[in-house]
Formats: sequence, structure tokens, C-alpha cells
Amino acid sequence: MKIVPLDGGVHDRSNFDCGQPSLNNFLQQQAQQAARRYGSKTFVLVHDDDEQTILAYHTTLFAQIEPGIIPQGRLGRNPIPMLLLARFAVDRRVQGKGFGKILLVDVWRRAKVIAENTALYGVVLDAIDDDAEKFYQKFGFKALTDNPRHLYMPIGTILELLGGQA
Amino acid sequence: MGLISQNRLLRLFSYVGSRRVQFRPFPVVIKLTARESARLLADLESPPPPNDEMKKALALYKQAIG
Repeated sequence: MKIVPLDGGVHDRSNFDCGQPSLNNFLQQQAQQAARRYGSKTFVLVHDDDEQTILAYHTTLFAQIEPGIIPQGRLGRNPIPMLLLARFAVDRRVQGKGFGKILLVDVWRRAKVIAENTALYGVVLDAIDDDAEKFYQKFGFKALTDNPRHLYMPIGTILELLGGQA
Repeated sequence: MGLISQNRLLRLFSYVGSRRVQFRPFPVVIKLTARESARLLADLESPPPPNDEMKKALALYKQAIG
């Protein structure tokens, strides 16, 4: 099993079905194009002996949080850089096998690499539904107050898990 | 309709509708309330430790990916 960048020439996007049309459509119609334009990056989980079949995928890009009232001298006035987990889906035929967990660790690993090389506060996402919200909260993501589905995890938690330093 | 016919206008709107931006371009800006900002700051200074589910997920990752 491996996690590799989406490659339209190798991976069969047309058969992917996670049960959420918007996530299927993104993978099938937009993910490759967005990566080509450096707008976002999509990685897919595939079996070693069947690289065509996409089991799951995630898409990330940078986001920034306006610091609001954070006192000067602490975070300053600069926006806070976050890794936005924009898309995250597991094919419905293989759901419940732990592939989502594997893919989530991959997101944390990529966040760690970024944090080791440039400023990154953490990972932020918008859960697509209640089930997704529960899934992320189980792994320690916390809700922001504007929307219970708007979740984040500080990079310090991720670095402690993976044994890294910012 | 003046400079542009109604049909052409409808086609134009239809085209714009079909090209609707569904994916936000970089950089995405997230605005926070004062309460959220304070909480983010607290987490930055003292991040919560990884929970058991995170540790289990990492073990599964190592088993599957290496």
C-alpha cells in the first residue's frame, strides 16, 4: 500500500465513489487540473499491486487565519499560516478498513515536513457532514466557535505524535 | 435588448454558471472571532498532547505504509 501524488495517466478516477458526489466530482474533474496549476495537491492511497484503483484521497493547500485580537508581540499582526485539508474521502467499497486513519496520518506527516521548513500553525478543515465531524474530533481536532464543523489541530500536537520539531 | 440579445445573455450566464469556482484559490483567508483567536493562541503556546486514537492511527500507518 502506498500514498502517491494523483496521476491522471495512472489512476482511475472515474470509478472512485465515496458516496459524496461533490468529493467524487472534485477528484474526477478538478483535482488534476488544480495540481497542475499549483492550486492544491492531491494524494491517493493505492495498493502496491493495483495502482489504478484509488482507495482514498486527500487534497491540501495553504490557508491563512487573520489573527484578530491576538495581542501584538505574541503572534503579531501577521496572518497565521495553516494547512487546509480541503478534500478527504475514502471509497465506499473499502470504508471501515482503516484507510481514512492511514490517510490522516499522511496529512499529519506532510504538515510536519512543512512545519520543519517554514511557518505552519496547524491543520484546519471544514467537515462535510456530521459523520466526518465525529471522525475528525475522535482524532483530537477541535471545533472553532463559528461553526462546529470548522475544525483545527495545532502543529504542536502533530509534532509530538510524530516526534518532530518546528 | 440593446447591444446584446436575450438569448446571448442567457448563454453567457449559463457559461458563467458552469464555470462557477468551486475550489477556493490560494490563499484561503479564514477570519476568526476574538474568542477563537484567543483559543488558537492558547493552543499554540501549549498544544494538547496526541490522544490514543492518533497513536493508534500512527501504528496502523506504520503497519500499512512503513
